[in-house]
Amino acid sequence: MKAEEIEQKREHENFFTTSYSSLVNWARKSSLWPYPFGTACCAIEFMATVSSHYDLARFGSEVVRFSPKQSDVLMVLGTINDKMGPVLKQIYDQMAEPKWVISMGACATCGGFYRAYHVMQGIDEILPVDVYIPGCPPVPEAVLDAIIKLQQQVENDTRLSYERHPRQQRLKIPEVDATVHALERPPRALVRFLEEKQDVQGPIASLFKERFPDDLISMREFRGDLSISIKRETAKQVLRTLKTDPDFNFKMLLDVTAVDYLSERSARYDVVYHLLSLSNKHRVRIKVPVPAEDPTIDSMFDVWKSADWAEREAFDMFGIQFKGHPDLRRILTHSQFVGNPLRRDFPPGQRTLCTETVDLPVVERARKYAESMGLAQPQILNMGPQHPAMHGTFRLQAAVDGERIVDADTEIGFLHRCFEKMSETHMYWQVIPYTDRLNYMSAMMNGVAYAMSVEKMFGVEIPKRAQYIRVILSEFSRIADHLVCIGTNLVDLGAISNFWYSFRPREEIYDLIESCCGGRLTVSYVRIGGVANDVPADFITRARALLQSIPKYVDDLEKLNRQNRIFKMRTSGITAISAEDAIDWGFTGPTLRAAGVPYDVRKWFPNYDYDKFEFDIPVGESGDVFDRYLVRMEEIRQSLRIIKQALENLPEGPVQIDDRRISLPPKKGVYSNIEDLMNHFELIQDGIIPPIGEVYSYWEAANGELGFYLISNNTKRPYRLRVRGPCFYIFQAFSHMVKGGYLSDAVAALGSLNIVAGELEK
Amino acid sequence: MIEYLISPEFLLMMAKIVGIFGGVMGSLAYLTWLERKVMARVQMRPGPTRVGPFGLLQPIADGLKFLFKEDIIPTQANKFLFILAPIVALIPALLSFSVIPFGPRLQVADLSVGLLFIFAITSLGVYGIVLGGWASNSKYPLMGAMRSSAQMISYELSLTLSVVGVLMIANTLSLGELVTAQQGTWFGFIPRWNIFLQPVAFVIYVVSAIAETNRLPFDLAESEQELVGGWHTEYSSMKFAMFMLAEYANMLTVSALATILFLGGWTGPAFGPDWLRMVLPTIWFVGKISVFIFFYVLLRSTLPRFRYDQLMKFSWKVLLPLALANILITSLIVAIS
Ligand code: SF4
Repeated sequence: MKAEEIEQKREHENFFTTSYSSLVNWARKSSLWPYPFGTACCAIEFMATVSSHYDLARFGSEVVRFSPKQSDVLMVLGTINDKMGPVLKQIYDQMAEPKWVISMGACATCGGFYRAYHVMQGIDEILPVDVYIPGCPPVPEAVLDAIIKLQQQVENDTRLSYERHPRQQRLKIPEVDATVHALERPPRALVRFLEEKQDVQGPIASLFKERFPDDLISMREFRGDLSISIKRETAKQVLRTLKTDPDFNFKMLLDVTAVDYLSERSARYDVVYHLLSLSNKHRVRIKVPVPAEDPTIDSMFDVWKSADWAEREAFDMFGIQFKGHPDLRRILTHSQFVGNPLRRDFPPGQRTLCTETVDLPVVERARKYAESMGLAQPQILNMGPQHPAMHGTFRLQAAVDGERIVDADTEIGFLHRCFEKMSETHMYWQVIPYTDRLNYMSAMMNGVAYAMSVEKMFGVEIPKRAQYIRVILSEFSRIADHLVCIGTNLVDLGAISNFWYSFRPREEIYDLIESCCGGRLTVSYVRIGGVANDVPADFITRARALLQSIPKYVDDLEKLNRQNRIFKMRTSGITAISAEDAIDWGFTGPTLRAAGVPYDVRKWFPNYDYDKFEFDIPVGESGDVFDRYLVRMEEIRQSLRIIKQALENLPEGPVQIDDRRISLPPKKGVYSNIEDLMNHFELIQDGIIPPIGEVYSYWEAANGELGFYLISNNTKRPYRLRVRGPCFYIFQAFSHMVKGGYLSDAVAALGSLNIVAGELEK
Repeated sequence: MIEYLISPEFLLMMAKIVGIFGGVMGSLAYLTWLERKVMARVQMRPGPTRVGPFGLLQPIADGLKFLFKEDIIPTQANKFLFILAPIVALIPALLSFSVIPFGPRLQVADLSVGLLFIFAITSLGVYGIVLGGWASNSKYPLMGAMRSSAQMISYELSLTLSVVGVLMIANTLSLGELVTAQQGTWFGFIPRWNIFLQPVAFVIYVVSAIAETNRLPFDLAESEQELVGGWHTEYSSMKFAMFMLAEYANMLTVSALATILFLGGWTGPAFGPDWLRMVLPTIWFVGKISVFIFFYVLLRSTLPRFRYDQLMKFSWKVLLPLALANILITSLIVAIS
């Protein structure tokens, strides 16, 4: 054949194949069904993309399939950490060709600002990616844009048949991040401050001195926080007495954590307990020094159940052994992890490769039980972490008998992003964006709670206007958070449309927040000492308009569900919990109030004029899924009331505190006098430097009490920042609550607890 | 033989078969479009708009895509049954259309036991689901299959019992005759539809029909939030599409049957020129079915789903006794009059 002929023939073939392939490509691009591999905040923005305002359905991509075999695009939404890596890889491998990958957000693309010991620095470590979406989180428009980009790619694809993706990669060993921050000055001054003897007065302090003279090491009061150091040997008895003795009555253990003082102190670690007495409205911090040579202490699990996971976390992060803990395993980091990351000498960027997902103890338990009873091998069902009801990051492994759950265990850590380590390596003001990503459903409130802790450390009060803005936007965030919780809960029950009904008002709230600070989800609006800038001029009008429109949506939701027989059947009596149990497990927020305990920080320990606002605390009776729904619905209404009053009384004035240690001097001064210039320079260069001290500050977030335990070493970075996320304590009870129920009950219950992975796993 | 093959009856028959099946397959594809559109409107959004005008080409794109998608058979699956299952699900679902009268003469075969035929053949469909779930050799599909078999068996009972009353009144099992018996009106304005004679049976029928077709609030076998995809979790590509088609075909069958049994089938006012009189019955029929389908979609977009045990209780403790009582009362009345 002559060359010309060959050419001609080829052209002919091309003609046929191109029109054929363009038809196929047209079909493929018009029917891109996503698999939403959602893990974190980005997943919420993806949900917004599906909601009415943006409607992904227009592109034919709304058929979200949770079976990898039936979907075309793997959308990786959010941070992927080392523990999640193998799961992601497995899902990808199970997808049918042709398949594409969209990486949404800075985290999935490159690890984002989590250059940390447990976070994958971009999913292209393990997967080939077709489209990257920049942003943190990308706005919904960007997601739509990515879909269009992918459609263009598919359209121009010349391959007719797909073999397995040629770019598939193996898991590779992560490199140690080179940007490890040097250690701060040794905590000498801090240790001296903590050990300094102080004579503290006050009811709890005197009572304690009287009762436990021999167990006491020292006592100190700082910014109203009472903290007591006691001896390790008798710690358990003392703490037990604190709980059971009616004079103390510390029924709730809010938090257990540890602090590392390196070799600056004879006992290297402190194990720290935060206690709350609901009847006396008292709080106290108990600290138990633990030496490095023998890092052991008695477990408090049999005193307060809430110690369960918190102790596991301290074990994971600091390597402290809790004697007598029933199930002391790593909790946040993966099973192959080496080292204890929150020790001060652990390099923040040191990752360990994770290649496997392990079975939980329930498998072994169920097998043993079956053997001892002479039964057949138990049926083990694994749900998650990538299961639609498990919200992408939790894993439930259950021994089931038909549809009933006989025994279960949960695993978390698939979104552990090293928040606490990250805050130790960043300056005080740099921590604010990280806090946004704790409970990303209501990012505003995390920022407020964090800023409050630094302000408490300084002992300052922020201007009234800033307080009111914080209140208004926080309450709006609470509404948005509750709406999302209720919406997704109902979707889990099968009532899908509620998703759109609840996302609609939420979008409107986001519009308001966006008008204040430019961010939708992760707002970074709060600053230490106030808020970033004043609200826009039309703020009050816009907020008032929202006050008008939200009740309409809420009423619609209520009409659709409250009287619905099926909804009632599915929710009443499900995972009911008694008030005592709820307190013992450390429940706070709506889940605790649904169980009948009217504890709400806004009423019990009011700040920011909450004592001046009129509002009620709704409480439930049985603590079941239905009550949680009712409580949340009512809280939305109460929040609207608060906002209305706050808007009426919104004072004029500055929104940033006038304190040269915290906020920048006015520009005029910087240009005209040397003091202000120096001040400006120092603040920019060194940041905010609080005095030495330790505080625990708390705030009623949407899920419950959100606390920050902050230790300052008089440097620009927090010495230790511990976050007490309400979810963490609620979720640990989950596997106990679902035992004996149906599988479907577990699904209904999880949605009603409103577990947000970012906050749960830090 | 050859003579028969070119005889007008045979050609007419072929034309009917092609017409009806073509129409049914087309409407199955567009049912998905309809469902997506209606749900979108309920949820305050536009739904598919980009692929063709009003997104009308969406089903075609979806179908084509499935054809060209990799077909995965899990290694631990029972290969033979895994392949067989979607076929078992789809074929009976389509077969039932052969006895459904779409118009006075628009029916492939008017069996004298048409109704029995439909019930017999559609109950085969459950084997597709059970086999598919079992052959996948994976836990979620297995649970989906278990749920679905229990559910379908229970609801089939009340479904069948609910129509007994109608049969006692009409005295026939042929679908064509069932329709003709409902022609005409009472007092000149109330159509002689069975729904007015058997309202309870109608309600029971509709509820059981929704359960039979695995639709919300009875979609436990598939329930995305619990079982990921239920029995078809492991299916990809065309096999998955076949399951979907079967589901929609079943939806269509039960709606058609409801129309025939209770709403007078293709009967309706006839007027206008001859050609209009020819097509009107089919239009009435399709219109009545559409109402059902619309109702289905609305239900799907508003209600939460039952739990497994509640579903079973509802069937055995509520629907079944009700259906039996209905039969008893009907037979008493029939016996007396
Ligand atoms: S931090 Fe959250 S919002 Fe930002 S990229 Fe990561 S997952 Fe997305």
